[in-house]
Amino acid sequence: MKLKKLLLAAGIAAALAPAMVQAEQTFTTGAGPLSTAARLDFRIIIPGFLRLRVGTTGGTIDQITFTVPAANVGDSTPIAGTGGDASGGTAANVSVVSNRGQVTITETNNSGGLGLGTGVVLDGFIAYTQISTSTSDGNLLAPALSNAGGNTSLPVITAGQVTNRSAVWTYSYLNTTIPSAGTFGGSANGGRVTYTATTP
Amino acid sequence: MRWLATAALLFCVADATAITIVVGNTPTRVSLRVGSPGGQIDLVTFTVPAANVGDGVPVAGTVPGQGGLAGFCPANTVYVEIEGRASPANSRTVTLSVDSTQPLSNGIDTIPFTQIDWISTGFPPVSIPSGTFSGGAGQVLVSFQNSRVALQCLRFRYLNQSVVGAGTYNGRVVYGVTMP
Repeated sequence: MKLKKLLLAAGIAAALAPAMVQAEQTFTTGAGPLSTAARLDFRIIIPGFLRLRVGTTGGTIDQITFTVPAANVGDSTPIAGTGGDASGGTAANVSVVSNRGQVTITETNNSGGLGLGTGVVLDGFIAYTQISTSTSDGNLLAPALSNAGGNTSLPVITAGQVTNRSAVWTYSYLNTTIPSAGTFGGSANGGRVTYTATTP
Repeated sequence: MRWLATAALLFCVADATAITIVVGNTPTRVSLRVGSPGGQIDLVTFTVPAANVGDGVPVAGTVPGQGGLAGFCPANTVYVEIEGRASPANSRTVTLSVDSTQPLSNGIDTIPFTQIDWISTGFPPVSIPSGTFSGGAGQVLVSFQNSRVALQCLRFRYLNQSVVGAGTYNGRVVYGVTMP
């Protein structure tokens, strides 16, 4: 008899409260149209990263070589390079991808502030300002090369904190001076430029 | 001997008529379970490796506690159970839909739910097809006739198709069941 009363009370309670909710296990009862809902949460964890490519991908360091014809030494005729991975060797494919806000690209070199040499001090040096860099995309400018290094460029942010830019940087020897005859630069003689990308 | 057999038969008949089993109409209702039972809202977490951000390789989600039903659903899936009960059977249509309007957010940037899909493992007679969130309200996932139960294990994936800002993005979808 007592059990019957309990069951009856439970039945009445269910009838008076047709929508019972146990959080994300829910149910609704009743004679008419019925509906019920349950929720599910999602979380995506995105780490910060920064990727920079200048030239050939992987561990290869490209070398751009300018060969000046004897008849044109110092006549201000720009000389295109060879050895790059773009535009027939005159240029480098560049990309910068990051999700950490404004990227800064800084140029430095291993010349100790002297410029490109031959390994013989008496031959003098060719200043890095003799090498110009143009870009195929104004959203990814190249920092101007300099003996001292430290020039910067700011790739234009794509959206929010994300920068995703690519361009072709074309190098040219301006040929406005008459240096000593010889081979200037290369990695051993101050001819290696390092581009460093940073984010806040 | 014949008397004993007759007596036994009488006893059997008497017992059978004494037991009455009444199968009453169960209440008309719809029920929905997503993940764990009780008061817990389950959390599906996607952790993207730094080297793979935005490379288009889907990242599978992780779910603590085997999606709320250990031993039934595989690890890192979410158990979903939908029931529509009414009399008579096959007289009403039960529909499961989802609202994924609000994108996931890290407080600065957002990721739309269209970047999350699921792979279903269903159990007859009703299955929720695999699919992708629409990023809108009222996305119908499955409809079926009443007096059936749909049991499903869903494996969620982040599609990882674009580079997004660093951070932890949180979002919530709301599943709804209707039986007009």
